[in-house]
Amino acid sequence: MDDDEDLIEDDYDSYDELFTQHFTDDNLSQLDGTKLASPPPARATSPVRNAKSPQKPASSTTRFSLKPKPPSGNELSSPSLSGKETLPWAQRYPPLNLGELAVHKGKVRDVEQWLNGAFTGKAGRDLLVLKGPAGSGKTTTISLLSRTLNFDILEWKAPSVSSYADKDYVSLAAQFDGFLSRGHEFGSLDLDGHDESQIFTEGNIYAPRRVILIEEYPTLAGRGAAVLAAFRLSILRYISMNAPPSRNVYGGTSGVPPIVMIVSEIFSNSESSFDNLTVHRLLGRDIYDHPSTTVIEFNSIAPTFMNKALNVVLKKSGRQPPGDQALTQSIIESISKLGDIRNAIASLEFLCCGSGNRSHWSDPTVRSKRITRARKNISTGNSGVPRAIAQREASLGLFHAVGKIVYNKRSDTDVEHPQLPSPPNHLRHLDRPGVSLVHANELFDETGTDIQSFISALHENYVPSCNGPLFTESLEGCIERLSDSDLLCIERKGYSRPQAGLGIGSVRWVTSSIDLLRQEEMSYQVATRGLLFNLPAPVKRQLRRANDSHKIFFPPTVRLVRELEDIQNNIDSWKNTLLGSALSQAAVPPANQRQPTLHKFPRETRSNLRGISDDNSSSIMAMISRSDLILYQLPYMTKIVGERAESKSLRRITAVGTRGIDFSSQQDDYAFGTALQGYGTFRVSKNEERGGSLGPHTPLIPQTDDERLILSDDDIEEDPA
Amino acid sequence: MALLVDRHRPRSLDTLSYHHDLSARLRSLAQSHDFPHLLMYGPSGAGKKTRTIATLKELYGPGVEKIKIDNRVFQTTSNRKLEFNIVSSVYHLEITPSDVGTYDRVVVQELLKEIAQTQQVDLSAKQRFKVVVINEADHLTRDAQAALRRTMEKYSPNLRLILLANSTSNIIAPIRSRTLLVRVAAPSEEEICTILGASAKRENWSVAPGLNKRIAKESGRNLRRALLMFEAIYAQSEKVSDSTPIPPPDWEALISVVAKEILEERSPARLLQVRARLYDLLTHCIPATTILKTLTFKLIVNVDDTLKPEVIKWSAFYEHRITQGSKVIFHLEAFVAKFMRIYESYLMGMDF
Repeated sequence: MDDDEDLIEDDYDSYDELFTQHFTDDNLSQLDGTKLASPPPARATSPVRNAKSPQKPASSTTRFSLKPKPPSGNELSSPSLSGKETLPWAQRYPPLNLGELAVHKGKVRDVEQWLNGAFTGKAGRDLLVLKGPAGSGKTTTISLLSRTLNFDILEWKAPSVSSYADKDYVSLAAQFDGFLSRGHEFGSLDLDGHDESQIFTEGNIYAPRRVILIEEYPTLAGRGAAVLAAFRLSILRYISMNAPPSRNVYGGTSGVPPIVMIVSEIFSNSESSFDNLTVHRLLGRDIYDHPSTTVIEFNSIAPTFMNKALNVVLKKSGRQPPGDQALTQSIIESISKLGDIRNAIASLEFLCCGSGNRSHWSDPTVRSKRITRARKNISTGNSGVPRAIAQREASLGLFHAVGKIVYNKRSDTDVEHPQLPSPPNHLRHLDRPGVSLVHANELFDETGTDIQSFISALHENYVPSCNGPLFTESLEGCIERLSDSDLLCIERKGYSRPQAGLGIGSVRWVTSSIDLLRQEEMSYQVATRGLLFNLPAPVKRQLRRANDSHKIFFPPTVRLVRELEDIQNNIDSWKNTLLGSALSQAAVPPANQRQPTLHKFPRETRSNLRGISDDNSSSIMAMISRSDLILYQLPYMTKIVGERAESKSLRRITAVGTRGIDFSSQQDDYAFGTALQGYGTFRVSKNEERGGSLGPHTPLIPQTDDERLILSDDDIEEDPA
Repeated sequence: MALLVDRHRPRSLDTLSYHHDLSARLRSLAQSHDFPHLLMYGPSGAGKKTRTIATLKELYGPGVEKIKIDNRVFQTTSNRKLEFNIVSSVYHLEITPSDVGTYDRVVVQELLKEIAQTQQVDLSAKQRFKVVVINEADHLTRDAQAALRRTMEKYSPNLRLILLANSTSNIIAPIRSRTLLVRVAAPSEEEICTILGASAKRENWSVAPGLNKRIAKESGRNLRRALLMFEAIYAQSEKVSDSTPIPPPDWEALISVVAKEILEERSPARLLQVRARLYDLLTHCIPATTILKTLTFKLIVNVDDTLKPEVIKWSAFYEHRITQGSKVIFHLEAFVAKFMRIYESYLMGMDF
């Protein structure tokens, strides 16, 4: 460790003089304080971090003991930076202890308890999955805990692609398998005797306790399927190997280090599910439901914690954003709402950098771009500055564009276009007041996401705009055009059967790419122009809850896809269970000797069940078609099985409508919606009408006989037996 | 899980309780030495599968009931791995290619080729060929069907196919012409009543003829559904009488709620509410076309006769779009909005 530090310091000194002109004096003094400099990629300093970037910045000194990557690896991403730069703040000022950590204390305690349990050899503690959005402090939590609990982190690093270009992908999987088994062997060697452990201590490898950390995953798309299967197999083998009996040999001390996986879940909005990284998809249900697996979900960092953390960082850096103390606090406050701490610190750093007149950017082009953008933001109003910087750009563009459409601004007929001809009599119903002031063609470039996500966002948000006496007409017109545009989009299903779900499993038609672009554009044009045409001219957005009416929501697909996958996995496993259980009939006594309420329910079997059924088994197995299974078999089975514990997962599949109606308001936890409230350009300043066509809202679910039959999760009681 | 519907499944052609004509024909087919490819079609819950298994037993004897489940993995050209379940005995094997969606062609080709190239291993087998039962044949893609057609021609000495489908309309003409079409009609309501009574007797349950009649009616002549309902009722209530309510599946109950909500009030807020419910149904893997169909039927019983053709027309329109487009929620919602508009215009006395 000391060697590394010295090495880096020397390295740094050699570059020191080169860059002196770029650093102010206080900058240098900070740099002296942090000697662990490594060359960061250029994008690391930008306020908008690439969330998909698999390389997390090391944020604790423990992890800095690893050798920094050679600069050559980063040259592609930062061609303009010829040498070393300062570390971004997120890496330069990591939390030094658990107290400074912005993660909720309960979560940290959960992880700590789990790790403690794993080290003391409690059963079922072999795989810990930490999932959550990027920048929610997952990695930092582990690395800080490694110091408090005193364990070593053995991190899996995927070999760089270039060196394996000529080999098969599977070799990577083999490497991973090897890595896992090596990690295991080291662990058990430590326990074999003191002599060996002594040796390892001298070699600086020995640690009393260690954890295998996995942060890099095989790709989930297309070609990677084989890798993914191998990856799962390796993990599964590893956690199965760690079965309780083998532990007890070592008398309470775990022989095999537990695995900690850190998954930043990624959801792209397009429903073609290959791009999404979810724990489910990564691990498959075998590992996910494995008794040794624990999943702890991290949430986005709450504003209060974030606020504290940002202030700490600011103090550590000794810098101030422009303006007085009050403005600083308001800026920090608005940045705090981001939820992504890495991004928030980067934003803070950017704001502080912009303050001085002297340049802190080594590359003039980067600087000028930043500054023009900052200028633009300043011109929109002073409160807009931090928000505009802190916001993720893609979302900003998306919400901005959606807002423009759903507020459907039209010109004042009398003033600007007095001589606008009106349509002939038979087309009179198509007359619209004024000319649309929304430039759909220009908006096309500002959507900020792919076209289909944009159209989904339009769909999510158009309804509150349809008010007034002719609301049924505008509603119908809008959704009809959206339906048209969906037919024009490229993700058509073609002639395959309609799949269950949200349209997952659609196949892109194979045509030339220029056609695809054109088709996307047509789909876009139909959707936007159709909405602009059909929405009422002065839009008064209205919803049940007054606050919601100005919010623009993010399409819910992200959340739904996760749920859908969960249920699909469940259905798959039930399908296999049903097939498998038919085989185990021979063991069950003949049917007619049993009471109707005493159905024996075989323990859930795994998918690979094999066996031969007896000749006099009481039933014949047959495959059930999936739709029959979903529509009739499972719902009725839920009712037949009744209140038993096995039926929990059944009920998960079949109980629809238990969630109540506040579905759309659940989106509040999507920071996008709230953060955008009051965004200047498309907020309607007039007071909204109260008590319009919407009366006081009656209880939403009428208590019918049917309703009572729906069981909610609360009704389920665990069977003690 | 031994459900009634599995436990009481007839296991030979003799014990089948309806369509005796058909059973006799199948028996003579199986006994003749010229067993053709079969295409069994009919509504779900009519007993296609049961009949198929019984026919197989007639063909090969009790050996077909010695089955095992294989989990096979296929690799597509784009290197995707497909997991696939196969139920098989020494003499036959049962697959559901539509489980793998658009990759069914790969499965059909690879699997059938593999089976067809090897002859029957068991020398004492009654037949020289193996039988492959293909479930949901009408959900096969065109590619898969074309592949199937080639296989049927090429490997007919070693292989017979039994295709099961709900209707022949999605099956390409070349396959239809190469198979013997066997229609299995849904049982009549009386037949369902008889079966329910017999099942109750086997289980020593008290028989409520009125209830059986109601179940038969509710089930839409789907025997599987009727038996499931029947068992659900007996599992849920201690004392079963003629008036015991028949619980619908949760998804169906929710769709009734949706229909009621739409009829009650038409407003943007209501549309959002309906959308949330539709999302809920979709995430629970209820097929969009089923949602649309059920919703339509729940709606039209409550509207005036003059509206019915219009509602059905738009329902059909958007069902087509669901199968064509990619975002099903758009089309479902479009139908709801369309209905709201039609209904509103009707209430205001306007043309629609």
